[in-house]
Amino acid sequence: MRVLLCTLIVLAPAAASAQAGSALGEPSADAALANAVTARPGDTGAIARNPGALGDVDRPVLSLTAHAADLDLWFARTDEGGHEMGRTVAGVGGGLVGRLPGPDWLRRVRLGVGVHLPTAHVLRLSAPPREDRPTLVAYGDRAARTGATAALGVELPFGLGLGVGLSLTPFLRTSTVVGYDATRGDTPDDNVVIDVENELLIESAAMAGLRFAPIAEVALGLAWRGQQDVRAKGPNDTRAGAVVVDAEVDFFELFAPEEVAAGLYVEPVGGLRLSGDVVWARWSRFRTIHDRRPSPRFEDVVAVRVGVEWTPTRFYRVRAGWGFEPSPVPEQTGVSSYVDGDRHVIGLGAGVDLEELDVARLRVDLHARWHLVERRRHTKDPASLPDAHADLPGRQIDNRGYPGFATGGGLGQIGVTVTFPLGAREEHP
Amino acid sequence: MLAAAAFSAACGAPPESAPSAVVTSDPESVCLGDGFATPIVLDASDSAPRLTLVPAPPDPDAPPLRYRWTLSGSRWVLVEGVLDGERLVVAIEGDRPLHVELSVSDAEGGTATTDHTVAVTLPDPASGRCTGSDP
Amino acid sequence: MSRLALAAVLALATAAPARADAENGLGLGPRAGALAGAVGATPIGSSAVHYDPAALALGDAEPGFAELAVAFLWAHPLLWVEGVDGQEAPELAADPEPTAALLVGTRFDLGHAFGLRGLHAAFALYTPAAHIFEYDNHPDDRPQWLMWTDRTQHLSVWAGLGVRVTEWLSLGASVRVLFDIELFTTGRVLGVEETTDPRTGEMTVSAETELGEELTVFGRASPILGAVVTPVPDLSFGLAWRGATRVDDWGWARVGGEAAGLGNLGYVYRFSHYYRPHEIALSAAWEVRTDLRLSSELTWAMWSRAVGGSFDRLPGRFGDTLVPAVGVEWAVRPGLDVLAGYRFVRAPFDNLGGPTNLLDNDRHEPSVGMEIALDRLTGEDLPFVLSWSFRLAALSSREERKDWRRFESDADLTHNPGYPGYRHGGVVPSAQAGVEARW
Repeated sequence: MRVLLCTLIVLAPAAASAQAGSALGEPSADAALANAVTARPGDTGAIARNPGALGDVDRPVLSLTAHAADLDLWFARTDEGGHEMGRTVAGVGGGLVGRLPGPDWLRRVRLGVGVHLPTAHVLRLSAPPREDRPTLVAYGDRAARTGATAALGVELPFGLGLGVGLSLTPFLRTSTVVGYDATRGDTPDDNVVIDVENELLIESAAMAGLRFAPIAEVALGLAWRGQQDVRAKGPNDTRAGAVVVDAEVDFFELFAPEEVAAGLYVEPVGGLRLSGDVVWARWSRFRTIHDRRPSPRFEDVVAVRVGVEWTPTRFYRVRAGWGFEPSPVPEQTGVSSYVDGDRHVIGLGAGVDLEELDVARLRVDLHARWHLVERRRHTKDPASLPDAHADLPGRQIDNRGYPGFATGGGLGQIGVTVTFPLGAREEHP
Repeated sequence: MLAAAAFSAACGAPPESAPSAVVTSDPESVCLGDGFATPIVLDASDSAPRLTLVPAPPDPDAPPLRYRWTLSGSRWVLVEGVLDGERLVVAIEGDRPLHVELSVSDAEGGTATTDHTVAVTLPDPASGRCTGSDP
Repeated sequence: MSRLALAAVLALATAAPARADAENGLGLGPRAGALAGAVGATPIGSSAVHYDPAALALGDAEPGFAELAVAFLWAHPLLWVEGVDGQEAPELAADPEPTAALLVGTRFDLGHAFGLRGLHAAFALYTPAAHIFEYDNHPDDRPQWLMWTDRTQHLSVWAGLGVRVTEWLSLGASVRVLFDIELFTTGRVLGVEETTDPRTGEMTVSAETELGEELTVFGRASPILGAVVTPVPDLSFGLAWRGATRVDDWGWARVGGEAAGLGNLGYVYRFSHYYRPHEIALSAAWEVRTDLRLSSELTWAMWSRAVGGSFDRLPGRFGDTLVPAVGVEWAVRPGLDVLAGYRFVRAPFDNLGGPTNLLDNDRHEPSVGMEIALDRLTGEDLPFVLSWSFRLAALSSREERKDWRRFESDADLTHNPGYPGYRHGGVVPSAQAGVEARW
């Protein structure tokens, strides 16, 4: 019953929103094409991928997406049996895009909004007090993050579209002061005095994009997406009798790197559409959960993605995609034990347009996607590990990844997107 | 309040209770390559049924806590005690640290988990001998 | 406690931003704001998802229509507190910071996709402009405004359906989602330092600690059900039930570590930051002439089951309330409507001279507003409705005197931060401006 209720809870707000750039929450069409979509004609996925492509949306469109993935990664210290770091990652999202009504000049403007929500919770932030725990990079809390994005696209002459967008990211400012007043109550619990002030601020990451389609069959796309991260800061002070604990909350989580994506779209023959993307991601700005620069630091990476869509009739279409995403994580010789590897992304999908069949005014797209993460080994360098007990003579090692570890695994995902066209289709002004 | 709240539903719920899980080990570190030579005492007796901000006298009527030890990392042998006891003694191969997880449960269903690591002491680079483990 | 000390305590307590309740104190959107919330039986667009989801099916709209509404809400509470003896203490006249928020709503013809007439869906999102939430929690005996602190400072999301079953009956259901917070904090002690005060000989143990946290934000859904009956074309009656809800905030914090030798110290907590009671609202709307419509609403709010911020029954008393509201719309000319309203809200809480110091007042709330439909006013193809509203909540002055019979000892009485008593009141002007686009 609780699962049903929670599903209802997340379905409700999801429908109010749109695709928002979550690591696994794209619309089915984008997922099936392995996200090789920067230069493709826009739909609700363009809100988070390339707002410059929104100019192709010719009537208000609401899309709802639901997806579920089985994460199957493992971590094994050298010469030990490994343990699974898998879990199920599910989420819902949606997109609402509409051209502004009114005179021709105003109708060249499109607005899009969207949200993606994990089904299990709205936000999860795991910050262990020790940084040497095995930590997922691409598939940790980031894989099931809540995202909200608003975008504006303008349709310009000569097949040019420009767009800008904002993705909202939270920043938690927190203050907790705890004291003990033995005169307040009858039990130790009654005597605890807690003053809490929590403020979840909204910060934003900008994005911009353009799409240039000199003819309908060929287009170029270029998109820039700013870095996103979630931080939490503030004092956490406790006074209990003679014991004083003045600690500081200072966390950095849910990092999504700054990206620049360039894409090409061609329709060489009627009904066959090809697309390809090259994406540079600035992972070198990654910071640890305690807001420190990792040692060794992460590397920037370049990913490649290609997709193909075939529409044999107006009623249905099939899609496939492949991408290669290099890991930004260097060999883990120091304190941290990040679990990540180069991965191949394979997507398959199909869509049915029930409006063309006069069944209902909606489209349904399905996808299946696999991430194949390559097996990888790391060896710790004792010289890079801190002395665990400085009060004891000699050098003590208590690192959880020592003497080394291997990682690997993958992910399988299925998803569905239902798109509702609203209002009447309009000719472009 | 509960009747009123019955018409709203949340996906999370507060824990039933919060015991306190505390691990101490003696020694805290052994020489790298100890070879099962050093007995290591792992003790959970400082754990308590309730998490309190100041020391509180134990409730004599409280049911006993339940313990569960999980050991990983270095290969180990149990010298004394059992893995669901309050105290146990182990020895380890010592080619790497021993990672200890203690889970404490109370009669109300509350559970607390804590981690502890028994470190290994690297040999002195000059002499090649281990000089730093606890006595 | 000296008057000066009392003044200082009360000034601190009231320095926190004070804001009105979003749905009832401000109104969700300029139309609800201008009609003082008397909107259950009138077409109100996507905001009906909160007031009466059956009203989502009301109004004249083209098949396949879609609406998007955006409104900016602003409020600037001007509240005051003074010692019970009326002493000169200008610092007690707290002047809280203003608040700003954004409301985004959409309503569309969902039934059009399936060939069903009169099935409309809506979503709405309310968020403070600067943050997603802001929650303060302090012990209940700390003087603090009960309804005017952080009640507007949280994200709320609604989703609902309204269906016109027959020409005279519409039904609706929606869900309101708030967000609970679970936070488990673990402090790992890296080292301790003992110091002794040379004068008092008092020893202090300072622990250097690295924190870890497990934070999870969950959704909390509460239902809203409604019906609108239209026995004759110009007269509608509405009935809505809005389920109780709250923001639940729980967790524990524990500090320990092998370096400390302290064992574990910590605490468990549970807070309720925001409580909305069950509400049953009866509403009516009468189109007196083609250019004049009257509306009214009477809301019963079941505050008697409310809890305080520390999730406990308070020594003071929460009581159920009846909130009457009336509104009027006058079409000055085609495309230009003037709106006005009034509501009276009785304070649901009384400290009754006891240990709590939660400040709350009865309030009178007159309001005005305007709607401008650009296409009808100008004859141009501009399907936008501009609107604004202004509401003034006037808080009746109220006095709280501490009653020694409600304290266990004289020390408890005189140490109470509100002793010997205080008076409080003020006004809260609020305004909204919005635009709605239709396709």
